[in-house]
Amino acid sequence: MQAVLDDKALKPFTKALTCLSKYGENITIRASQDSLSLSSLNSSHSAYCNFKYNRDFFQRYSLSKSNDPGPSASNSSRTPAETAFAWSLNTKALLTILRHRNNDKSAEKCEFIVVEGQQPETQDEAREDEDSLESRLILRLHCKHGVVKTHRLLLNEASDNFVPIKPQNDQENRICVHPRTLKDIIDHFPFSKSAKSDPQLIWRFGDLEVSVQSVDGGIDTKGKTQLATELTISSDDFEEYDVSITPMSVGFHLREFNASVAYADGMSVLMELHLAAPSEPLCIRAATDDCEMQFMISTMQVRGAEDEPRPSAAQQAANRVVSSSNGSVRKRGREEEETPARRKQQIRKSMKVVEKSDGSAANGDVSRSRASVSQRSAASAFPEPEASQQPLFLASQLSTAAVNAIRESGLGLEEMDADEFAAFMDDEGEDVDFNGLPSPSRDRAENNAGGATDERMDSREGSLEYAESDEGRGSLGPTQLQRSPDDGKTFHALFED
Amino acid sequence: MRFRANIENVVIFQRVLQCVEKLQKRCIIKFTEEEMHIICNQESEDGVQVWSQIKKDALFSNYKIQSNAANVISLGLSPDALLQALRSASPSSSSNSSSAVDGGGVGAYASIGASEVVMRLAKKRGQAVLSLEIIFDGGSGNGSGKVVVSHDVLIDVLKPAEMERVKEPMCPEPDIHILLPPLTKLRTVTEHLRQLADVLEVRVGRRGDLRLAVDTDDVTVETLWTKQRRPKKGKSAKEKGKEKEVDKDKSFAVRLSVRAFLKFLSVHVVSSTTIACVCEHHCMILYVYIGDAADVGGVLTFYIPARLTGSEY
Repeated sequence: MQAVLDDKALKPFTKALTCLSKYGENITIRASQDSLSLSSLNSSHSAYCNFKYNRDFFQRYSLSKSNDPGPSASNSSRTPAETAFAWSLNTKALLTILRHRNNDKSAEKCEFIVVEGQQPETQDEAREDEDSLESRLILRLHCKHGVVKTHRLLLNEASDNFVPIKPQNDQENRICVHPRTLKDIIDHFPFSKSAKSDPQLIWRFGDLEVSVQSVDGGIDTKGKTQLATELTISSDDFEEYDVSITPMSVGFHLREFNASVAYADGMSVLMELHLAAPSEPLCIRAATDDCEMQFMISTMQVRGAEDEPRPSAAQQAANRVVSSSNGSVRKRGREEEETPARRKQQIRKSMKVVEKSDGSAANGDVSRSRASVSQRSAASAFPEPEASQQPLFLASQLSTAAVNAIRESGLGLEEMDADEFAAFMDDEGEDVDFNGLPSPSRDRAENNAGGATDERMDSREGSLEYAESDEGRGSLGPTQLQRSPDDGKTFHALFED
Repeated sequence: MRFRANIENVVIFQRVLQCVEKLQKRCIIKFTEEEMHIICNQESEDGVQVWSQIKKDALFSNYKIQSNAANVISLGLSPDALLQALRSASPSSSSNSSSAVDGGGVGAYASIGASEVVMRLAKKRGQAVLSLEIIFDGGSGNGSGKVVVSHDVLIDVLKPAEMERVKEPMCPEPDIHILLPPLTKLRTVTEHLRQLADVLEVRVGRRGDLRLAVDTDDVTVETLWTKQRRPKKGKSAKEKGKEKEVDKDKSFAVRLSVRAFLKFLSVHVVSSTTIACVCEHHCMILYVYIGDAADVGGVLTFYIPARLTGSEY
């Protein structure tokens, strides 16, 4: 990958990096034919930040890989995973270099070159790449007077493919505001500057006005908070104010929010805040000509006796569906959200803002099938994965090496979903013969209904033979689907009794 | 008890609180019908005490007070909390800096300024608070809505019996008075002296000379200001008669902790004139006047006890 930025573009780029550095320690760079995206996730997975730069942002932008026939090949036949590259890198390293340049003000052009370490033949800069085992980002700053500064940074494989949960309904509860207004609001709240202070604010969106309250504030001499602050601002001060469910209260931490506001203020772009429901993460979007920004910050739901949000009737109906199917819905390692029917005065963390994907959504645009989403209300913000994808562990902690090992084991594990895996590992007595498996989409649909394992097996085509486990097992085909009959990943019983 | 006032002069109030904040974590504010007293008398290592008295009209307007104790209300609060609340009444662009920044600054609201700042005694969630309500009218240029910021500072209401025990320290009649040079200059010098020693000697002579000296085993440093003005005191004839006999060259000295003196000097932001009174080997009393000399709004009185090193006698 090779990209060149001129000095006008370098400033916003550096500002973006500053914002990314406040979110998390590492940034993930994803490059595709049309765009380059930088994203960052904080350590507790409660805030996510993504900058997507159009290729026009760069003076020159080219992407090539040695086994890639070339940009002219049609990309439609490929899944995005193959044309997109992803690396991860320590933000501070990059920021120190670029920020230093700002002090110099002498850089005219900045070249980013990524040299992949795995392939033996690298691109043009092969001779400079002495270490061929790792990918490197080569940053070349062309400065005035013919000075060229070259920096080489280590790039890691993007370890996790995190993708933000797309809010269910983009248009609900949309607020457009100039970042200066937000900055002024936050300025009114006194916060101590100690490193361990983590300011939080509670925002209440009403019909005509917005009120912001501090949770804990001021100096704490006797173990009690000395200062409580509340600010009320009329909704006229917002460019657009479209909140359908009022009053709505959310609370969130300010550190990341401040970084986004500072960035938007520096770039003078309007910020769009989306909040589908108090339990969903806050989604902030902004866009300039060449860049799209997206920030997701997890919120804390604040429910008080005073304001009970009044959901629409449709949502209440959806809530009821969820509460009945909640019991049988699989836990996929995410937090389960309480249904609104059980409201209490409390502050609860909302869902995580991101979930794993297996690379199908490389550039942060998650287009997911909505077939199953309607079954879940806004209270649970995790849409089902696409029908064609069958990730094993949604919140996987597996490293790439582990995933490869699993793939090589030939057990067909990665083709299973959670229930099949549970069946594979735990169930003892079911010796089933999977002949003529039904199509995956049908599987998915059945899973969505939240049916129990047994029901699903019963409805499969083919005969199911139940045999005692003690009597030995024959070879079984993969439990989920057979990609190709040739694969024939059979597995053999582990224990021959 | 009820109390309500509009704060007109936020900046002066802020500056006074800044000095107090540097001294102690908690202070006592006593509101009477005509004045506001700020008292910092907690025993600290340096023993610096501040007793200040500000006429209500210098800071407030629309001042209403009512209480059972002869319309006097005494509260204990954290000056830092109150200061932060006031900061948002005139926010500065670097309002997050906690260093000594004076209250005025630029922010989207400061250009318009708060149209109204109301301070009120209130009870919120069962606790007594001093509630500051700051209203900005006219919006920040984007909209036309008004913005209301409300801060609640937690307070302790002191009973009259407790207030009785709070008394100004007993001091003998001062030996000599002098008008100090600008406190900023004194501050620079004292900061340098702080690196050298712990004890500072302040010597004031009748001819109007002020000498700050530090004397250790390694080094002796002294700074001399001459021709300082001495305030004319309207004393009784007996006193005047006495003065004539007195030696013009006599000077009076008192040894203070450098840190204590520095804490006092942090009031340089608010002072216009300062009068120092020396009670030899006992203490130093400093009167800091707020506002113009002609139209004195209030006075901050600092009591700094002497550090007895045993070598005075």
